Amino acid sequence: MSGIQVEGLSKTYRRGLTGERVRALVDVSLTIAPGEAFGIIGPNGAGKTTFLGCLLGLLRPDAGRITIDGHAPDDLAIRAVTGYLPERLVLDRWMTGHDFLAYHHALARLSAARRRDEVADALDRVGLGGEAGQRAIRRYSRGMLQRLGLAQAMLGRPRYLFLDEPASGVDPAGVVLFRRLLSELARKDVTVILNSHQLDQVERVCDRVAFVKAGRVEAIETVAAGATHARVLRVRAADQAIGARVTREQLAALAVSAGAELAGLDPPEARFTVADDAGAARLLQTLIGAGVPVAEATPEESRLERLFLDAPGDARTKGSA
Amino acid sequence: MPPAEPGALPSGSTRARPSVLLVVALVLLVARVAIGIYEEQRPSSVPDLVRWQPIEGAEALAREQKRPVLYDFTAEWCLPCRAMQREVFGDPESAREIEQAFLPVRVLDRMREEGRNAPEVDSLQRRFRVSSFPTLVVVPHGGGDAVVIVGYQGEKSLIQRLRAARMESMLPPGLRPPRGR
Amino acid sequence: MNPTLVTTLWRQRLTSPVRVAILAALTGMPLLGVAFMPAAGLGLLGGAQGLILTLGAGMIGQDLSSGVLQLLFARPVRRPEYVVSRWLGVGLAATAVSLLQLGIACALLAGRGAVPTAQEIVMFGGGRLLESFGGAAVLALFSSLIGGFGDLGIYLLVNLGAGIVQMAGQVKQWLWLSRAGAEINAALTPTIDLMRLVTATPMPWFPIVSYASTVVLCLALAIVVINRKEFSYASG
Repeated sequence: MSGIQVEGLSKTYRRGLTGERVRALVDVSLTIAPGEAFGIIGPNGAGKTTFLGCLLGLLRPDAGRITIDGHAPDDLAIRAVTGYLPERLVLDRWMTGHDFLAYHHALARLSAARRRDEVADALDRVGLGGEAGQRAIRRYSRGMLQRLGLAQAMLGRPRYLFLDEPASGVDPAGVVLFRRLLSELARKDVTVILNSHQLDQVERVCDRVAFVKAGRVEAIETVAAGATHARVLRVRAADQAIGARVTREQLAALAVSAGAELAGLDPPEARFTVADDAGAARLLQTLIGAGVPVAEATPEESRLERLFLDAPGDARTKGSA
Repeated sequence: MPPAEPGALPSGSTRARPSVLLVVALVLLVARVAIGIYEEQRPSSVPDLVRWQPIEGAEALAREQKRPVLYDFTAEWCLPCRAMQREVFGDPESAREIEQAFLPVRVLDRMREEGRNAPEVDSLQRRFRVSSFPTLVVVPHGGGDAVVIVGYQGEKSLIQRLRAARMESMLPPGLRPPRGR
Repeated sequence: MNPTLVTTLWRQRLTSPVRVAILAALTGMPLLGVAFMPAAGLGLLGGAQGLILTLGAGMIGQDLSSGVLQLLFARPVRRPEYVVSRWLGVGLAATAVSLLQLGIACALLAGRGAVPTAQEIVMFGGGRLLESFGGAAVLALFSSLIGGFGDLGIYLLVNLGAGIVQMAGQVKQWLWLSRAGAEINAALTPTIDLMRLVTATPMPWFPIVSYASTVVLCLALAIVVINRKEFSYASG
């Protein structure tokens, strides 16, 4: 049995001395296949970090079972093939970047003979090679800390990589770097569990995404390009005065002929509901063919964003902007 | 490069309860309390580093050696006496100091255990009007009044009083502070 | 038990200028005393308590409150290993400094023609070693209970409390109370009086068992505390 199996996981915190019980996780069950890139999204306080903590053996669940490759999460054998980048990254500030990686390399029981090379390699991969690696961590910028954190998580090519908001505080160049590294890892046999607020990153890297709210897994979506899901397309015309030339009725008729629906009009922008990617393509072709100078077409919300807005069980509200 | 094989590492929880250590701790704790009580009840097993001299001829010997006699009036059932024995007479430095400064003589009361005392014990107790234990009496070798210390208030205080008593006993008889016989 | 953790503790202590300064003062000042009063011999060097507190303060608590343990325990590191390694690190460091101090003191005394005997040297070194590991164990327990340098606070409180209990017992002539106070105070700085052990007959078992009991109990409890700690900043 490999991969991560979670059954009936529950965790409750007692908040402070008043003893008010906060149910951080309620009966969570899911399975993560080995080699999968699994995303976890949800509002603040939903229990995502608690969930990661339980998967890593840092927290003890009140109920339920977690097995990773058939072992308990706090088993030594699993710890040895796990990499973790916590959200609030705290590093030993008195060490240099190089020392820190060497320290974790040793803690991970990796070969001492290869330590120097692997540490230098890891520093290079996150863009901290050269002088930066010799600097004391207390003088690192936020972005550098995050890079070092990722380097530490990737030491020893772990089989399970847990990343909690990996790109937080990282400059745009770093974000690109992280995206590249994560995509590489996702392509290899590494099981990546990614907790992030950056939905575009999650959508790009992950195979499946769990939406967690109030301690429960509300939905698990399969993220794939070209998926068949309805969305609202926002189209902007190049001509500011388009409203005078094309009427609402004309736009609506054009939309219907392409299998879409006009959802709103606010020149030079119009919003259409399309059934899927193919529908979006047809709509744009139709509009352009009819002489509408389409300058830009973007989905109003990503599919993952919509998870945040829709209340569970309600009918999908259409473009309530 | 293949990742590390989990089978190659010792398996087991990172949070294994230290059962062996806890058992050993418990055993040692019980042993500690037991031995502590045992040593309380059996004063003979408490180390006593002072070499006590016999009562017979002590004062003559003291005159020869020009040292005051230190009589330790004690009894086996007396708890503060045991504390004094453990903390003062059992302490290497204090014991050494006492042996150097005095001729130590132990006067053991056996009234409770045997119903009576040896005559020399009796006469010494009467001479110095010993009514409670522990009582320490410093008798200057050159004659004169003895200094009587009743009770035990801790090592420091006792050592101080013994030192003061010793200094007093070294003064010529005329210069000593007057005290009741 | 985990050499990486032990050496890391040493390096961390050495990079703290405050600790190094205090250590230098604690080591150097008694040596000045020895230099000027060679007749007093090794006695002036005192005990290891200052060294233990300087080297050991925050030995687990600092890591607890800083948050580095999150990453540490995500590694294949047994939590008992961590506690024992911190204890060993502090104990060994305090012993090493003690032996250094002893060496310098002997050199100073030799220069004045008052070389201590071999027995005195062994007694002093052995006593300091026992003190170092004993005190480190007690501090490890305190440090596991509270973050930052709270272990020093606990230490001082217990010291004060035991002193008060002892004094109350003496004032009231309640032997058991003063004995209890004295025992607690003694447990704070577990040690074995080697001289008494060697010279007294029959050999007293109580000091040995007492010392071993304190050390093992403190370590076991510290391990239990750390085993049960949950490492996550998530509070909801």
